[in-house]
Amino acid sequence: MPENPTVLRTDLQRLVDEGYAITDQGAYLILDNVPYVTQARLIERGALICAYDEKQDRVAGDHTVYFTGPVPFRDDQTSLVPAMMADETVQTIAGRTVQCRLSNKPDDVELMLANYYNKLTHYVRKISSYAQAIDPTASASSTGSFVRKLVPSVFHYPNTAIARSGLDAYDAKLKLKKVSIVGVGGTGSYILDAIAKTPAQEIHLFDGDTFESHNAYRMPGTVDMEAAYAGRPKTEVFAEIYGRLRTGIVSHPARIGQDNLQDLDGSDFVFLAIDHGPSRALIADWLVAKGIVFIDVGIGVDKVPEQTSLIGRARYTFVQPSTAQLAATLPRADDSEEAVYNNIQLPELNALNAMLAVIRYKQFLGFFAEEVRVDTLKFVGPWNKIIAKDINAQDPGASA
Amino acid sequence: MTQSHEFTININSRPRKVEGEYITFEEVLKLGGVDTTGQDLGLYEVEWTHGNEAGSLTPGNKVKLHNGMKFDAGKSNRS
Repeated sequence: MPENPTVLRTDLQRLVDEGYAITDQGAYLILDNVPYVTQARLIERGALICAYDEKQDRVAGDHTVYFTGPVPFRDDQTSLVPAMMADETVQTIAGRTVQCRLSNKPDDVELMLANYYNKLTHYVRKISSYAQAIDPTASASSTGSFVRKLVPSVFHYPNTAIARSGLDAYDAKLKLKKVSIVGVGGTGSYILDAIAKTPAQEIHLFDGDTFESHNAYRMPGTVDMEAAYAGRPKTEVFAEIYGRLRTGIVSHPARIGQDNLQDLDGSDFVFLAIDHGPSRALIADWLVAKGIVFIDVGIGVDKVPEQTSLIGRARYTFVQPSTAQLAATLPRADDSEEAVYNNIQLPELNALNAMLAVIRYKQFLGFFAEEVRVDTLKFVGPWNKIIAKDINAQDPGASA
Repeated sequence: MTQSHEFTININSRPRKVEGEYITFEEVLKLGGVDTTGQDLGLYEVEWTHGNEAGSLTPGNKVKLHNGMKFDAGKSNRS
């Protein structure tokens, strides 16, 4: 029996064979123990970190690397800042504090990016050669080791989009335990598309409808004809699609009513993307009573027949315990009879509505900055205008 | 006293002439061609904009008219 049943890829094996200490940490590769010269002409050790995707031979991302030390110096005490400093942002990358990002392009960048051996040894040479000029025994290479740190993740393959832009500390803010999406129609499916790509641990989908052919025209991506007519529950179809990317999608093929409201309990956040007013009222009141933060979304499209054109609008209402009174302003009445012959929905408005709500969600979690507080927001199509309101501010239009 | 006179406004992308000096939520819906027969008025929202100003109207409320004012009236409850 081989000691390690996983055969290491050749570039990493070569690094280990040459004595480097390598750590595979999910979406990052770390090379430790790199000697560098400090401003005081001392030799210290630092780690090089770069975005990593084990599924690709070629390097994920660009030619830059993060470094846990400050920007190194040459042995003649000149700084390497002009030669290889990309930025000096102190941040957390792969669980380590990095002090800078280094950028040094060799003549043949393609060769450097062909594999991780080429990329990492390029920086080892650039940094350590000055340390070796002071102490010829200073070397990043010693006994050689490889550690694979299992990083718990909901994703089947690493999110290199986050890794290559160094956003892990930001992305960690999106790691909620339970997010619920009530209604996976046009808008709900776009909300799911965005939330599925965040590290939320569980995403609960609630919808009592079966997937029909018209749904394929109001969703991100699409399905083949067989799936369009299979008559399966919508929540199952979407759980299967996003199950290709991640774990934690929970399908509840049922409409939320009095009997199953408690399924929403424990949600850290709820997206309400439904049509039926009385259900919206029932759920909103329940969430308010439970202190669960939620966002209600809705679009409206009206015909201007004499111009053969459409008026579209998209709204969200963001309800927190401190703004619970907003729940009473939601469209609560039942107009399902009218909806039968007057329910125009268009994916561009569904998608816009969903993304506006998801941006607000990410702002609430501190992922996006929020300078101006917004509780309700409406995009008015014909005006190309977004009307955002803070309910604590005076509304100039509310003259009684 | 301000004299009541005619204002040219837009409701749901249609030009309309109305007598001032105020317009109510209900008048906006009616002039906007929104058929509210048998519907709960709470489902409808009215937004207005004029220059850099904007606001909204709720049932029973009114706003002062200006020439060139724009109104959007309708529902936003579909997903």
